[in-house]
Amino acid sequence: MSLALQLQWCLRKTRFLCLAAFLGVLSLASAGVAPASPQTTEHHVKAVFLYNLARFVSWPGLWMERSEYFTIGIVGNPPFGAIIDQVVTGERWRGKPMRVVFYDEAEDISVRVCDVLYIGADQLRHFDDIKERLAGLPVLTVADTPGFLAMGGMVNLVRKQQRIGVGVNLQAVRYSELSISSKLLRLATIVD
Amino acid sequence: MFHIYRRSRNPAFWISLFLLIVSFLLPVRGITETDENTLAYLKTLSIEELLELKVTSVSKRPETLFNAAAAITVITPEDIRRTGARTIPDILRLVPGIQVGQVDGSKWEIGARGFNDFFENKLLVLIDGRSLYTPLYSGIYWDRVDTILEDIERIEVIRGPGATVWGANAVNGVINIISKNSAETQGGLVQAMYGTREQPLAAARFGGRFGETTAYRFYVKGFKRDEMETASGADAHDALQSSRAGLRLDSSWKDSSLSFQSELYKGEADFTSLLSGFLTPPFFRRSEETEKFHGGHILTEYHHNLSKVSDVNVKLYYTGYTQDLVVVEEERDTFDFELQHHLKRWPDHQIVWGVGVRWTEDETEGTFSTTFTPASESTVLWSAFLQDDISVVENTLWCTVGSKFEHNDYSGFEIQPSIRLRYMPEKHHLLWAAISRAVRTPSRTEQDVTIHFASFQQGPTPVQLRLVGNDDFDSEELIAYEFGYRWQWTDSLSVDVATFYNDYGDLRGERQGRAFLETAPLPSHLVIPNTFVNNIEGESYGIEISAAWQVLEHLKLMAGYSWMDLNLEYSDRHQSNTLNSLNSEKNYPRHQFQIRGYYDMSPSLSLNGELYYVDEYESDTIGEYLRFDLQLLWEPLEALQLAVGGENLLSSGHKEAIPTGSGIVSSHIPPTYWLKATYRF
Repeated sequence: MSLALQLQWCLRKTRFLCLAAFLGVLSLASAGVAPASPQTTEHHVKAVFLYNLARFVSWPGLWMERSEYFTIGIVGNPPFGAIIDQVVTGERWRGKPMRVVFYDEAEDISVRVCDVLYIGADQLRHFDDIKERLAGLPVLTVADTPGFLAMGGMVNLVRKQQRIGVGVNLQAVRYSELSISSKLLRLATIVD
Repeated sequence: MFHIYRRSRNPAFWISLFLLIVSFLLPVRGITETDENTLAYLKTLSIEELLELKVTSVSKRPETLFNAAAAITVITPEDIRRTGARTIPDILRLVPGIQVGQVDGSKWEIGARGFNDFFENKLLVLIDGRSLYTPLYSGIYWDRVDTILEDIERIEVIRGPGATVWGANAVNGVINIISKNSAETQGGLVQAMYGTREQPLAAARFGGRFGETTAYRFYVKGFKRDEMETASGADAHDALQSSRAGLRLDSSWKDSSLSFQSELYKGEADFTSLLSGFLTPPFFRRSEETEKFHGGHILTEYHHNLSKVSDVNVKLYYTGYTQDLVVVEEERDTFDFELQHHLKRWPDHQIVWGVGVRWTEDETEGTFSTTFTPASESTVLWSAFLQDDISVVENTLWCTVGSKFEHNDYSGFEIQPSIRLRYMPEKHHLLWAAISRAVRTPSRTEQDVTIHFASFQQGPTPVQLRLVGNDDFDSEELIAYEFGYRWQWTDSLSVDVATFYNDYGDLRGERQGRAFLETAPLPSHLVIPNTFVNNIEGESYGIEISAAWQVLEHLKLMAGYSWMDLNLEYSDRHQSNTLNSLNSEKNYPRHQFQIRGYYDMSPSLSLNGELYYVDEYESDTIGEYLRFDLQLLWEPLEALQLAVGGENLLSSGHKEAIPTGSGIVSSHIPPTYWLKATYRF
C-alpha cells in the first residue's frame, strides 16, 4: 500500500472511530445508562406555579360557595396544557377538589365557573372581551405573555433569563375584590 | 449514500450503529413516569424555591405549525444555542431538503430542493419580513445575512413554493428569520468568541424598558474571520470581516402593537478571482481581490386589532446598500410597503388579503468583464393577494385557496395561485396536499447584463464568449405538487414526511447567436454572443423525512433524510448550447442524511453533536462528504455560558461548492475549533 493510501485508510479509520464514539455515547445515553439529571422545563414550572398560585390568593367567601369545585379555566393553547391537568388531578384546595376546564376560544368561557382563568397567548387579542364579561367578578386572570399586565391582567409569568418571574397588577386584583398574600407579593414585580 | 458504509467495514461503527438501533427499540422508559416524578418533586417546593429554579427553554411549537399544509421546519433558539452554529447558513444545514455548501470564507451556495448553485435564484430569504433577495441577479449575499444569533426568535424554513403569500421568487423555498421582540431581550449580553476562524468575534446587546408599554434593545456585533486554505494547503485569501449595530423598539397597547428597527452594517470579504474573457494571452487572470460592502435598513410594523374578528398589519421598510463586488459595483435603495388584513367574520372562513408595493433603484458601475445597460434602473413591483382557509368538515378537513397577483416591470402580470388541503383523521395525525404555481421573475442580469466570460485563441484571432442580456427573457415557472404527513405520536416523538413533484418550465438557459468580428478594443477579435433564453424545462421529485425524539428529559435525538432527483432538458434541442447550463443546474446531492443529539450531562453541562452526510453532486463537481460538529456547553454560573466547539471534525478539509460561472475560486472547508463565552446581566 502506498503511503498516501495508508494515510487515507488511517484517516478513514479515525473518522469512523470518532463517529462510532459519538453514536456510542448517544446510544448509551438513550438507553438511560447515563445518570439522569432532573432538568426542569419552563412548562413544568409554569404548570406547578399555576396550581400553587391559589394558595396565595383569597377569594370572597360568597363567591367560593357557588361551586363544589375549585376550577382553573384555560383558554387558548398554552404549551403546558396537558401538564397542568396532570398537576391538578387529585388535588384539593381548602377541601374542594381542583379541576381544569379547557376552552378553545374566548367566546366559550363560562366566567362564573372559573376561579382562575389562564389566557393563552393566542387568545390575548380577545382579552378586552374577556374582561368585559368578567365585569369585576373575582376571577384571577393569569397569562405568560409580556404586556399582559398593561392590558389589565392580574398575574403574569415572565421568563427572566433562566428563571420564571411573576408580575402582579395590584390595581386589577383589588378591583376584582381578590387579595394576594404578602408572601407572593414579596416575590413579585408589582405594577400599580 | 450506502457505499460509504460498504467501503469501511469498521467494527466499531457497526457496533455503535447496532447499539443505537437497539436503544431506539428499547421500551421508552417511562416518559410519563419521569414527567410525573418531576411534577411530584416540583409540587413539594415552596413558591420561592419554584421561582428560584433554573428552567430550560422549550421550543415553542404552536399548534398552527403542526397544522401547516406545507413542508415547514422551524429552527428554535435551543437549536441555535446547542448546535453552536456560527452563521445563519450553518444553521440551515439542520433542515432536511435544504442544501448548504460553503464556497469560501464569506460565500455560500444554498438551495432548497436543488438548484444550489452560486447564482441560486429560487429562494426567498426574509428577516422580520424584509426581503434580502437582490434584484440584480435574484440571489442572496449570505455574508450580509447576520445578527446576534441569541436574538433570533425562530427561523421558519418552508421547502417548496410559498408564492401565494410571499410572492414571486418564493419558488423552491422561503427562509423566514424572525428576531425576538425587545421584551424578550431585556438586560445585557456580552459575547466573545475565538477560534481557528473567528479571530475574534465580539457582540454586545442591552435591552430595557420605557414604562410598561415600550421595550427596547440595541446591539453591536463584529468579527474577523481568518482565511481558510486551498486544496494545496496555501492561504485561500478568503478572510471576512464585518460589523453591525442596530436597535429595536417594541410597544404594545391594548389593541395594537408597534415595532421599529434599524441597523447599519459594513464589511470586507477577500476572495480569489479567476476572471476570463481577456483578449490577450493567457486570456484569464487569477487575482486576489477584496469586495467591500455597507448598508442598512429601517423597518416599522404596526399591528391593530380592529375588532374581535379582524386585525390589520402594516409594514414599511427601507433598505439601502453599496457594494463593490470587484467585477461590478452596485448601489441600491429599496422602499417597501405592505398591508395585510385578517378577517374571521364567518365561522368557517379565515380570510387574509393584502396589498403591497416595492420600489427599487440601482446604480451600477461595470468593469471590463461585467456591465449592465442601462447602468441605472428603477423598477416597481405591485402586488396583491387573497387567501381563504375554509373549514370543510369541522376539525377534520380544511382547504386553503388563494392567489398572489403581481405586476413587475420585466415580465408584466404574474398570477401565482395555490390550493392546499389538510386532513386530520384523528388528533396528532395530519395529512396534507398542495398544488401551487410560482414564478421566478427576471432579474437585472437576465435582461441587461454583458459578461465577457471566456476567451481563447483560435487561429490568428482571439475568440471571446459573451453573455448578453435579453429584454424578452421571461419568468421561470414552477407547478409544484406536494404531499405530506405529520405525526405527533407522543409529546416526545414526532415524525414529518414531505414529498414533492416539481414541474419546471421556461428555466434559464442560453442560446448562441451569430458570431461577429469586433475591432475595438484591440486586438480585433471574434465575438460569440450567447443570450439568456427560457429554454430549459424539466421535473424534480423527492422526499424529506425528519423525526424528533425527546428520549429522556436530558436527551433529545433528531434525524433527517432527504432524497431528490432533478431532470432537465432543453426545450429547443436543435439549438447549439455551448454553455452547458444543464450541468450547472445539476448542482445538488441526491441523498442527504443527518443525525443530531442534544445531551444534558448535568443541569449545567451539555454535549451536542450533529452528523451530516452529503452525497456527491449530480454535476460531479463535489464528492460525497461527512461533516461532524460537536459542542460542549457549560454554565458555571447562571449568567455565564462557556462553549467549546468544533465543526467539520471528521475531515481534513473538503470542498462543498464549486461556484460555476462566478469567477470565484472555492476553498477547502477545514475543521474549525472555537471557544465562546457569553455573559448575561
